[in-house]
Amino acid sequence: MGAIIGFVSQKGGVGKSTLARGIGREAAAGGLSVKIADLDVQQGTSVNWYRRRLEAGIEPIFSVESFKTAAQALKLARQFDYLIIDGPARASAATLEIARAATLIVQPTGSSVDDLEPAVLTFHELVRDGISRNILVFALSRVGTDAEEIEARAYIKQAGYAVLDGSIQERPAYRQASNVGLSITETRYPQLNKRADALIQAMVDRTDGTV
Amino acid sequence: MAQFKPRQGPKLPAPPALDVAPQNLRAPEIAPSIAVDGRSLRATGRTKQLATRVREEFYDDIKLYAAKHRLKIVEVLEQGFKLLKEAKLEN
Repeated sequence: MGAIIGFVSQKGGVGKSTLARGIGREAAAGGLSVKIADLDVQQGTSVNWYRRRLEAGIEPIFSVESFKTAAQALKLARQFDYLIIDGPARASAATLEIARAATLIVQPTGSSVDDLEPAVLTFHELVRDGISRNILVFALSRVGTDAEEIEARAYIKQAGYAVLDGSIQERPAYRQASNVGLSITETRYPQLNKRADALIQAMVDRTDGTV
Repeated sequence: MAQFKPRQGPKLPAPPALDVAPQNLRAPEIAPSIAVDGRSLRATGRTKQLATRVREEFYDDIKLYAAKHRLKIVEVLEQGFKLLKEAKLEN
């Protein structure tokens, strides 16, 4: 059975789809079979992004599909090396269902208390329902400065959770890449691609360590 | 004059404790949609449709009775049904 990586959050716009697409692209480039399951049927952020990617003829291609429920997506886990679940921007019973099946749960968060507090509470809920802290990690996204990142890391550590090495900085280039179907490792700027790649590598290492 | 270093504590407040976590994971996966329209907002609370076929004589009879007493058909039904239940209880 392949790895299942779930991207969850209570809030929208924190970077779930961005990171899901990033790791999907890198795994596909590494020759692995990948399925990104987009659970937000109404917005279809990843599905729409993938349509732009296909229209632009960007390689590598992989598989992105929309699912109404987590259970439908989880049924496919055996068929792929990586099943990447891009969850909706809302914690629900489905979040727990994904966490029970997942190899790793990544919750992207910004570095403000407005983002950090609900994010910590969502992980607290999962822990209370029996999910091991070992599979729960935060990924810092939309980070402005190094000082901001340091403070956010301290906050998360104090809450008792792990934070992935690396972060996604607040840069228009990431959005510009997304607009044309590219991932965060495919921007015009090698330095930004390198930073994104470091964060994705941290996810991969964490996934491999807990499989 | 003594030199003091600026004292800096953490700039962010303490994270929330485990026991204050909400109950979002109990919420259904698909958020229930609440359909609100003019009918459901009616003050009478009569939001359900009840349709049935009746004989022509009964149709004319109940329509005339309602009009004569300035009642709605539903009011004739409600009041008539109430009387029927009370009569059954007495027996």
